[in-house]
This record gives sequence, C-alpha cells and structure tokens, in this order.
Amino acid sequence: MKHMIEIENLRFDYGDGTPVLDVGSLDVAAGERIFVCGPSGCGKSTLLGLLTGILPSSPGTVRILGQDLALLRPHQRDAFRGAHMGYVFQSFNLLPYLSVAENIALPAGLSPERYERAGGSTQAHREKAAQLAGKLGIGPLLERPVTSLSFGQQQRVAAARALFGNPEILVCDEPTSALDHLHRDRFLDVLMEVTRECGTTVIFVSHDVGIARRFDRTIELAGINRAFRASTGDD
Amino acid sequence: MKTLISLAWKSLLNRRTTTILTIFAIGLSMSLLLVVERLRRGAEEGFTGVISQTDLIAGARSGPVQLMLYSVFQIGTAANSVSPATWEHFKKHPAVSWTIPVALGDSHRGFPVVATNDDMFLHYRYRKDRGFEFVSGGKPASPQDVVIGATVARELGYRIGSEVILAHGMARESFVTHSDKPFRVSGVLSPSGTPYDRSLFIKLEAMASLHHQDDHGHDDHEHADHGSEESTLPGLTAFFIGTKARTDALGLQREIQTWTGEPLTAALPGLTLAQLWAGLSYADGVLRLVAVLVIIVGLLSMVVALYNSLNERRREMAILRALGAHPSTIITMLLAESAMVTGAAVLVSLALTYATVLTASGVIGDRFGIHLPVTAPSLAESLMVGIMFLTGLLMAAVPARRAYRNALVDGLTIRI
Repeated sequence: MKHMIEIENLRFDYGDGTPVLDVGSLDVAAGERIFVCGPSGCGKSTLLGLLTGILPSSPGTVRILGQDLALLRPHQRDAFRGAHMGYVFQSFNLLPYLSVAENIALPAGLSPERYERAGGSTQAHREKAAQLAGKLGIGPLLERPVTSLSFGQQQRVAAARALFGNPEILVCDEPTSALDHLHRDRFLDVLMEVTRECGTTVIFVSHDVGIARRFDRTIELAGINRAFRASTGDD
Repeated sequence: MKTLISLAWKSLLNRRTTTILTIFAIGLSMSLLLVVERLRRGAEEGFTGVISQTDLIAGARSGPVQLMLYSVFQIGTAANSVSPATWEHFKKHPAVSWTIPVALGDSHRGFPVVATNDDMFLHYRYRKDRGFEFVSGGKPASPQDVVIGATVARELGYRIGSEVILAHGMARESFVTHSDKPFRVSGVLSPSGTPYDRSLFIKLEAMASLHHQDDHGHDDHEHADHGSEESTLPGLTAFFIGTKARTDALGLQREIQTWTGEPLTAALPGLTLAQLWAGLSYADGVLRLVAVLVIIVGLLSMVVALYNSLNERRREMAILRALGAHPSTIITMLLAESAMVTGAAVLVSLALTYATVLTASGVIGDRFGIHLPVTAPSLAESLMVGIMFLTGLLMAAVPARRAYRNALVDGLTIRI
C-alpha cells in the first residue's frame, strides 16, 4: 500500500532542549482516515506543525507523498502545503471580506497546482466550488457574505475550501469542537462522504473520542509520543 | 500576484471607513505641500515678475538692490535724484528704445504717489508681457488727473471723479499737504499683483508744479526739485530703460555707471530681483518644512492604521499561511495595500490641489497679488508626488515587517 505520510524517529523541541514530540514511527496510507486524539499538551499542535511544514522538522524524517520535508526550503514547504494539503481550523476559517464562493476557491489563487487541478479557469473554478458546496450542503449560500453564516455553515465552507482542487491530504484541527452534537454529526457525515469519494487522506485531530469510530484508525498521540510519556512519568 | 492584489483590495474595502479616512489624511497633507509649493512659486513669479521687459533701471548712485527697492517696490527713499537732463540724454541714446521716468516722494494716506508720463502705461510690463489695464477711465490727461491702483481703489473706496489730496513725504498723517491742489481720479487700474496696486499715478508736470510752488515751504529733499532750472519737470527717482536690442543692456549699463554728468547706478532688474528673492527665500524654506512635517504626520496615520489592523488580521495571516502563503507573500499583500492607499491619496491630493487653485486663485490674486495659474503638474511637482508615494511605501514596510514576524511565529495558530 502506498504511503501518504511517513514519520521516522521524529523529535522536536522549541529550542529549549526539552523535547515536546518524540515519535518513533508513524505511517499513514493513501486514502486512510486517521483520528488523532490525546489530552492537551500531548503534542498535537506540534505534530500538525511538522506535518504541514510550518515547523522545520529536526531531527528525524517527515515524508509526505515520498517528499522529505526537511529537504525543502521554507517557501518550498509553504508551496508544498498549499499544493497538497487542505487545512480546517477549529474556528475563524474564513476571510470576512470574501464571499462564500471566493473563500472556497481561494486555494486556486495561492497554489498553481490547485489552480490546475480545480479546472484551470475561473469558470471551471466557479463550477467546482458550486459542486463542492452542493456536496457539503451549502449550495444555496455561495454568494452570501461569510459573516452572515452560522458557525456550522462556516465550518462546511472551510471544509469545501480545504478540499478545493483535490489536495491529497486534509488536515482538520478540532473542527467540530465548537459544534453541538447534531451539527457535529452532520458535518462529519458530509466530510466523510466527500473524502471517501475523492480518496483524500484525512488527519483529524480532536479530543472528542466519541467520533473516533467513524475513522479508519485512531492514533492516541499520548501513547506514541515518547516525550509526553517521559514528561508525565507515564511509562 | 493577481490574487494578492485582489485580496488587498477587498481587505481595504472591508475596512472602508478607516481606509477612506486614512486616504484623506494623507491626501490632505500631500495637497497642503502642493498648494504651498504653488503659492511659493506664484509668490516667486510675482516677485521676480514685478518688472519685465525693462532691461535697465537707472537712478542716482547707490546699490542696485536699494535702487530696485525704492524705485520699483517703493520701499525706502532715494537719497538723491536724477536730473531731467540726464534722463533726456539717455532717452535719446541710440541703444534706447523707450524709457519710463518715475519720481517718488509724495503720498496719499500712506499710499505712494508715482509721478511718471504716458510711457508708464505704454511700456511697463510685469509677469513677462502684461501691461496695466484700466478697470475704468484712462491715463492721466491733465495735471490734475490721478490714476489709482486696485488696492488704493478698494481700500479707500475711490472711483472716477473722487477728489485726492496729496501729501508730501510718506507719513500717513502728513502735516505738509498739497491741499491747495486737489487731484481728481481719472482712471482705476485692475489688480496686477505688483506694488503698483498700492500706488497713485500723476503726471511728472503735476509733481513739478506742486513742488515748484511750495518748494520753499519745506526743505527736506526726499525728492530733489530742479524746478528752478527745469520748470516743467521734477527731479527723477529713477528711469526704466528698454533697449532696442537686449545685448546692448550690459554696454549701456557700463555707460550709465561711468556717466560723468552725475553719479548714477544702473541695475539689471532680472538679476537684482533674483538676488533679492534669494535673500528672502528662507521664509519659503520654513513654509516647505512645515508642509513636509504635515505629510510625515499624514503618512504616520497610515502606518498607525496598518499597525492597528495587524492584530485583528493575524487570523487572516494564519489562513493564508495554511493555504500555502509564505510570510513574504503576506508582506507583498500589505505593501500592495499601502500602495493602493498612497496611490489613492496622491489622486486625492491632486484633486484637492486643483480644486483649491480653481476656487481660491481669484481671491488670492486680488488680496495677496499672488497669481495662481491652473496648469498641469510641473516636473518638480510630479517629482514631489513620486517621492511622497515612495515614502509612503517605505513607511508601510515597518508594519509589513512586523506582520512577517507575526506570520512566522504564529504559523497556523489562529490568534484573535
């Protein structure tokens, strides 16, 4: 099976010599949907920073799509992230001065690869955005200002933007933690359906273990992060 | 790049109240500098254009600056006068095309009286090629006629037919008046922006006869009277000379300066005016400095507005970072924003400047004698605008740098 993400002996500290992340090995297959959970301080944010290339990976290896991120210069890592990853924040995902449709199509403006994969023209992008919005149940909202949307609707727009131009990996950082159960489940329903259809690899970080069963695999970061285990004396 | 510019544009639109206020703050300050520059140039042109097409000014021996000051600007008085015979001599000189004799010394309620002849209205030119124009009436025809400048007419409320009593000397309340010889206003000049707006013009003969009769009543010789020798003409303060060929001016100047009949000085008006202006120009330096300071304050308001927006825009930065934007991309976006703001401010400043010039040039011309023409931006102005634009961008680099640091530190962390 093709590896989408490969992590080997990844260690990270914020310059003070105290490791916050120390992972021996973590592989994610293409199309696999992973649920990452763990208590606060277990290194979730650090792991996401390393996976997305925001933080420089040192020492150890993070390989995405076969590309060792450490071999890329910072702006190349940024471009790589833009081309191959979608990202959904916990909240405040949208630019308030763009319409829903403009927010969804934003990746095409910043990444040439996403521009091409989303159809290569403004017309194609518009159709693609409408199509994605339809799948995520926000079709009628396309021309609305984002400030008029409910929180759940905003998260769907964020998901549509993250998936625009078919990135291989979708990274979600607690996107449902501010949603009630009903909206959380609806959000997950459409997200699962779209990512299955597109074959997107999903890294979904949450502390809400109640939704873990909906994913292919659950990784308890606290369990595989040797630095966290050492710091809490839980060995 | 296209995306960045469109994002910058939409972000500005989203903050349109602040943006518009900032644009106007900068635009106003820029236009202040432009208007000050125009006024300064207008003042300089008015000053150095106070007498044109006159190649030489001849008067009794003194310095060229003093000669200009009392003969043209009517500031101070001449120590000596020139005899009418000398004037007659040079008037007939083969190199001379025309002359304008002026005899000063009398006044009317603080306004100087210029005794001259018709050649003043025929040959005197200011600001390149303008001559006196009459609002009403015409040149003095009889020795009782007086022509008044625009300021005199406005301040004293005189019109054709008003009676004017001249006083000896320049004091506002002179004890020695020529009350026995009242004059009548025969003409009113339109504003010229020259010192002559504040003058009254009478015929040379009129001055001669005034002083011929009461010459013995006072013996201070602010203007020397040669009435005893030459009954029809008074002593002259100066005479303006137009040469037949400009190239003759220097030779003629030497000839006048070395004239053996009496000690004379001949000044080249253009050169002397430039020297005088250079001596006065520290004032416009101060004016300019103030305008530059105002611009800096205006641009600082943009920097402050940008700084204020940075914190609330940190999450915007994180979103763009997540989408693959490098921190340098974010800098580019902020600089594009500043370029738009300063660019718009430049347009506003030009619009305001022209609006000011269009609406105020009439009043400024009448009140201060400063001519403000509606002309296309000069090279100097374009350069100034360019420098202001670049300064704006340069100052915007400070908050942009801060944004870069934020973007690096924050990464994908959304901070509100």
